[in-house]
Amino acid sequence: MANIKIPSGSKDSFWPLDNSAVFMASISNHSTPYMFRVSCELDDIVHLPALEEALSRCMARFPSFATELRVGVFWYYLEPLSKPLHVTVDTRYPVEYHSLRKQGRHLVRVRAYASRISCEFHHLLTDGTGALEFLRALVAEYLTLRGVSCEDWEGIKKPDSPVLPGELSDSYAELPLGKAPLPESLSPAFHLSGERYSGLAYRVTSGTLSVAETLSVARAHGVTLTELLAACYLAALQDIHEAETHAEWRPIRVQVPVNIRRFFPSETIRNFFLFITVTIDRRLGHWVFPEILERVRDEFRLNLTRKELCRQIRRNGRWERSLYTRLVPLAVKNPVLKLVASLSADRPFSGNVSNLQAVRMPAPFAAHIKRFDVLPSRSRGIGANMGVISWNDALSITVGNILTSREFERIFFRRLSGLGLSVRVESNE
Amino acid sequence: MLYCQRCKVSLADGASRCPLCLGPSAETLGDRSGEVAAAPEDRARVSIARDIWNAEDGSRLSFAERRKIVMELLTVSFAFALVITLALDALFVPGLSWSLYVSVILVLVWIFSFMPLAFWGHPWLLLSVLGPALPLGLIAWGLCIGSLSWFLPVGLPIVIAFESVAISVLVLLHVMKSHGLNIPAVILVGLGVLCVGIDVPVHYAIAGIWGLSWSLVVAFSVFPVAGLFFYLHYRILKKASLRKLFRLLVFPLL
Repeated sequence: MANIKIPSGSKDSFWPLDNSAVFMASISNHSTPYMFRVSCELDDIVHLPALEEALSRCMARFPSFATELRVGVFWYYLEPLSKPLHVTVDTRYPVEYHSLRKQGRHLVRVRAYASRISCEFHHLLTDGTGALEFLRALVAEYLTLRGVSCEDWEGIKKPDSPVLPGELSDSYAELPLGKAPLPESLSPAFHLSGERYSGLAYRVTSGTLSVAETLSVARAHGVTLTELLAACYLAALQDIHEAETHAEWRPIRVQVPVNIRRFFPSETIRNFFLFITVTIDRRLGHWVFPEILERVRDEFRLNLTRKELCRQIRRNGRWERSLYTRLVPLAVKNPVLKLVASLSADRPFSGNVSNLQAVRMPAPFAAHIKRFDVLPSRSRGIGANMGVISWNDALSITVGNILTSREFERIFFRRLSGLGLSVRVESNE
Repeated sequence: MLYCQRCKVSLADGASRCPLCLGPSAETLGDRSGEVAAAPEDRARVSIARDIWNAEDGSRLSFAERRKIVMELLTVSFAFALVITLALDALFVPGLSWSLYVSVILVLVWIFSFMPLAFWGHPWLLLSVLGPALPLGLIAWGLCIGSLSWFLPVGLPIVIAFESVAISVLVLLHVMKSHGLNIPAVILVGLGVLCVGIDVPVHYAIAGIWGLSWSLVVAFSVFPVAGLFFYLHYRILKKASLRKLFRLLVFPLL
C-alpha cells in the first residue's frame, strides 16, 4: 500500500501499517505476542525523574512510537496518541503479551530496573534497528539530563532535532514489486518438542562472550559472527533432533532477520527487514560442524543479495497491493491471516537468530554504559529464539525459551565453549 | 537521596512511594557511594533480574475476584432479560402466556451458568444443586403448559439418563491421564447410552411395552467408531509398540 501523505500533527493524521505489521497486527496473540526488547545497562542506578523527562522528550521526537493501533474498515492503522508514556516497573518474565484491543495504549513499554533501561516494542511498530535508534536516543538524553556533556551525538537523534519525513515512511511501499519469481515454498521443519510454560513464564538465558575472541574464532572458520552463531544454533538443534526417539528426520531451518536498509537505502525507523533462511536437511544424514559452517556461509552468500530479496518483496507485497485484497473488510482478513499464519508462519522454521550487530555511542555516553541486550519475542511454536547484540567487547547472546527443558541452551552454550570461547551464562529461572 | 528497594531505582526528592511498583515507601539512603556499597549483590545481578517483583500480578484481578464479577454480570443480565420478557408479555396480552416458557428457560440457563462459578471447587455441592434443577425445570414447564402427565413416564427417565451420562462422561474425562482422541470416543459412547436412555421410556410411552428401536441403530453406529478412536489413541498415537502387540518380528533364540 502506498504511503498516505497526511500531515503529521493534523487532526486526521494516521499511519497505515507497513507490510510486515499488517500481518503481525492480525495474528498477534498470547502465544506469539510479537513483543521484543532492547535494553541498556548503565554504570549507575537509574534516576527515575530524569528517565521520565528523557522519555517524554524522546517520544516527541519519535512520533510513530507515540501511537495506538486502531481498527479501520479494511486495514488497521496507527493513530497518534497524545497521552504521555510513562516508565513502568520491570518484570521477571518480559516481552509478555500486549493486548492490541485495548484503546489508548502505546505499543511500546519503557521499563526500569536498577541500572537497566529497557524498551519493549510491539513488532508492528518497528524492527530492531528502529528500536535501537530509540533506545540510543533515550539513553543519550537521559545521560545528558544526568549531567553528561556531549557535543557530537554522532547520528543519534536529538529530541530537539526535526523529524525527517523519511523516518516515518513505509519503505516497503516504496519498493517496486517487479516481476521476480516468488521464493520456493518451504517444507515443514523440525521443531523443539516438549512441555511449554503456561502463563507468563518465559525463560531468558543470557550468555556473554568476548567480541574479539568470538570474531577471531569466526574468522578462523572463514565465516562471519552471525554465520558462526547460526551454525551453532543449527548444530544444537540437530543434536536435539537426533536425541529424540522417533526417527522421522526433518529439515532444520533457522531464519535470520536482515536489515534491508543497506540494500534499499531508507531512513525509516519503522519495519524494514526481511528474512533469509539457512537449512541443514537431516534427511541427508548427520552434519558435522564444518559442514554446517560451510552450508551456512554459502546460504548467506546466496540469499543475501538484492535479487533474492526482491523475490520476498514481491511475495509479501503483491497480496497487500492487490485490489481484491484491499476491498476485503478487515473482519474477513483477520481470520484468513490467522489461518495462513497457523499453516505457514512457524511451521517451516526451527528457530530464529536476530543479530542487531554492534551498538555505537559517543565516547562521553559510552563511558557510562556497561552493556546492551536484545530479547526476541516469545514464540510458542518455535520454542527458543535468539537475540544477539554487541557493545564494546561484550557480545550478548540472549535465548528466550518457552520450553521448560533447558536442553537447547545447554547444548548451544556448551558448543560455544567447545570452540574455545569463554561464556558467562545467567538466567531468570 | 530516595531509592526504591524493589525496583532499585532512585526517585525524585520528596517522593513518598515508588511510582513504578507503588510499593512500600522509598528508603532514604546516604550519598551515592554509600548506596552502591549497600547493594553490591543487586548490582552484580542486574543484567538478569530474577528477584523482580512482578508488579502486573498486583494490579491483576485474582481468579476469585473475576469469578465474582462474572457471577454478578450474569445475574444482572438474566434478571434484566427476565423482567423485560415478563413486562413485554404483560404489556401486550392480559396475563402471562409465552413469557412463562421463556422465563423457565432463562432461569435454567442462569442456574447452569451461575452455579458452576458459585460452587467452584466443590463438585458435590454443585451436583446437589444442578441435579434437581433440570427435573424441577421440567415440572415448571409442565405447569406452564397445564399438564404433568408426561413427566413421570417420559420426562423424568430422560432427565435421569441425561444427567447420569453427563456426569459419567465428565468423571471419565477427568480421570483419564492423557487427552486426545479418547475424548470424542467417550462422548460418542455417552451419546449412544443416552440414546438408549431416551429410546426406552419413549418406546414404552408409545407402544406400552419395554423395548428398543432406533437407539440400537445409533448404538451400533457410534460404538465401533468410539472403539476405533480408543484404539487409535491408546495404541497408535501414544506410540504403543505394534510389533510387541502383534508379535510382528520373531527374534532368533540365542
